[in-house]
Amino acid sequence: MSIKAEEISSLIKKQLENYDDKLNIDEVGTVTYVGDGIARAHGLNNALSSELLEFSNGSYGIAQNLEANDVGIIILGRFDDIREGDQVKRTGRVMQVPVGDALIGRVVNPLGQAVDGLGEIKTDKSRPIESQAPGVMDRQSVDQPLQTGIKSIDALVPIGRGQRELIIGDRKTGKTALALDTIINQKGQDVICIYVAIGQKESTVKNSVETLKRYGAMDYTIVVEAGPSEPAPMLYIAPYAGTAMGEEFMYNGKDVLIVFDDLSKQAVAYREISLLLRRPPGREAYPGDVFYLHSRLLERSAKLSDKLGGGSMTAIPFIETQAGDISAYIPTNVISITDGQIFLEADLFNSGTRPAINAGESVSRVGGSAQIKAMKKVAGTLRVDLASYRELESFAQFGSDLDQATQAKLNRGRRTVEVLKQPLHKTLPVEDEVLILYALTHGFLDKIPVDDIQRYELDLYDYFASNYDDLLDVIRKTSDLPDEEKLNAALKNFNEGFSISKD
Amino acid sequence: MALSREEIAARYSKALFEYSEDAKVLDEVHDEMNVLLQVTKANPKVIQLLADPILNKVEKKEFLDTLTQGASVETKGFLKFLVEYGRFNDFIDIIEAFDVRYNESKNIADGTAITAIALKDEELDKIAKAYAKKYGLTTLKITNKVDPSILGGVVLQVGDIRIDGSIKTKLQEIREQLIENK
Repeated sequence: MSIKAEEISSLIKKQLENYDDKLNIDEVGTVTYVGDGIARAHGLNNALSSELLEFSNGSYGIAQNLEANDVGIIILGRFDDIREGDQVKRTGRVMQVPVGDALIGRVVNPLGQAVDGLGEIKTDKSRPIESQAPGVMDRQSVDQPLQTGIKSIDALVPIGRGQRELIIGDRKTGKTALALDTIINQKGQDVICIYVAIGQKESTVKNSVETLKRYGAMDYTIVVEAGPSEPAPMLYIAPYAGTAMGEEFMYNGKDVLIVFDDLSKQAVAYREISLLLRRPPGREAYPGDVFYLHSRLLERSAKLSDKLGGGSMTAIPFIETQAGDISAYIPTNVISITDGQIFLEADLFNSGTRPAINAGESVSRVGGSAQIKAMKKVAGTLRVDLASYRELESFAQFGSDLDQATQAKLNRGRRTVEVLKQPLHKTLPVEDEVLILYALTHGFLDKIPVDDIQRYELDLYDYFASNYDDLLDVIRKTSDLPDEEKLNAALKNFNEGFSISKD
Repeated sequence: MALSREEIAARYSKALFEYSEDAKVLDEVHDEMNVLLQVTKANPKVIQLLADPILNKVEKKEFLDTLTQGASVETKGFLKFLVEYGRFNDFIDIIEAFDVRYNESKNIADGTAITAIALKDEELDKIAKAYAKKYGLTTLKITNKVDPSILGGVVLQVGDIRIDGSIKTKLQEIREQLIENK
């Protein structure tokens, strides 16, 4: 191959034609302090709050504190080559991230740059990372279920499209697994998922992405990643960037699911920034506006009115507690912001009840309106049954002489707990969930030993799929229970054929 | 909490400004203070001496008298006042803040023009006039600074505003454009 000098020079000439020679008039300030992801600059008297500023090394920053003599700036990117005396330039813009379909299937950092090595992301649209949440008139109430495919959630703490449901629990109680399962279950549901990993180990994020890929979930998922080795400002803006990406879809009438894994790390990053910016520390050394930090983020998840296209964004924020303490500062804040919480308990997790959902402490304020009719019918009494079982269970440990009714309740309770267990990444379609819960609440499991229930469940699904698909189809199509006589008869048939294991 | 340097400078300069304005000697005081500022910058020991807490205040005032021979009553009074209140350490900050306030009231500004080669006075004057016209200032005082690394053109910095017409920046922009459009 030969390179022709004329060709190259004509190309360059062509590009230089658009070069427009104008004077740059900038407003600049001087850096007086740099450290740990933040800088202070003297001057910049006209800078606006949260305006994007450019340092002379090319890094960008966001104006945070506007004071009488200087401006406190958080630096997004490299700050090791910013020196005292460097100039900072106003840009007149606010921080924006690229949005749009091109991001789907990609892993990006909070600035919207690809970090998965699959090349540049080509998109011409962008949105500011901070934006006003939709107001009262722009919303409608949540009434469409978002199926997580996890029996205990769909039955006990249903999540609706546009709801904000907190997942809270100690480390290693299966929070991330719940979120990944929920994302995996959105396949074919026309829901775009955004997984925002804040301060998660890079290896963990890699694993999560691999899992999503293995189940084909990356086809409709964006992963926003701010690793623990990145400066605190990146962790702080990550959820806002993810939300901006989701808003683009929501305002175009689509349904979005966004998972923040996890917001306690973001709060810690924000605390670090605030202390370095010399904002007064409050409780647990968090700054005074740490509530606003999360409330303004989660308010942006909404179910939009039909006038605005009826799109929705369902938010699943995570909070990691220390030793199950949900009355610490950040957990109480986020509990009060969200529309309910799913409380995961280490004791349950270790005793093999997985997902380790504590049914008593978990609630969904949207409740039954986010369930299909059939599920509402079968799951109605489940919560009360479980509660009374837990109560009786502790009593039953004292004496052996129990009356029939109590025995029956204990029996049912033990089976309920067993049925609500679910292995990792084995999400279920809603009709299967309804089926097993129907069998449970109508006493078809009472004669089955607890150890056989897992096998019973799997066989039941297979049996119905091959013999009574018409009944399942009724649930799928009408969202209501099929004719109960037919269903009872079918279950009876199955029970007769089911062999109980001997030992 | 102790007052920061900026707060001290703001308060004392405001006092000096209003005091001399009321006494109608603003221009005079401004000129005298600027002379004193140059003197103290050239001889840092002056401030060390006057701010020294060990020395007797009477002695300091006698020394001040010789320093400010021929100055106006207001200037003398203000300097004695600084000694009295033990704020002479912040003299330079105060006068610089005073200068900013004075410039604001007179609608004038100070600026720097960075060029690759030294400019002639009439050229500087031309730049100053053009700038003053654009931003509605009465006068702009420009000092010329030579920095060969900008290759050519002028970088004019007045307060927070920087007008960058240097060859270096333009080359940088062309480079960015070429990379972007590859």
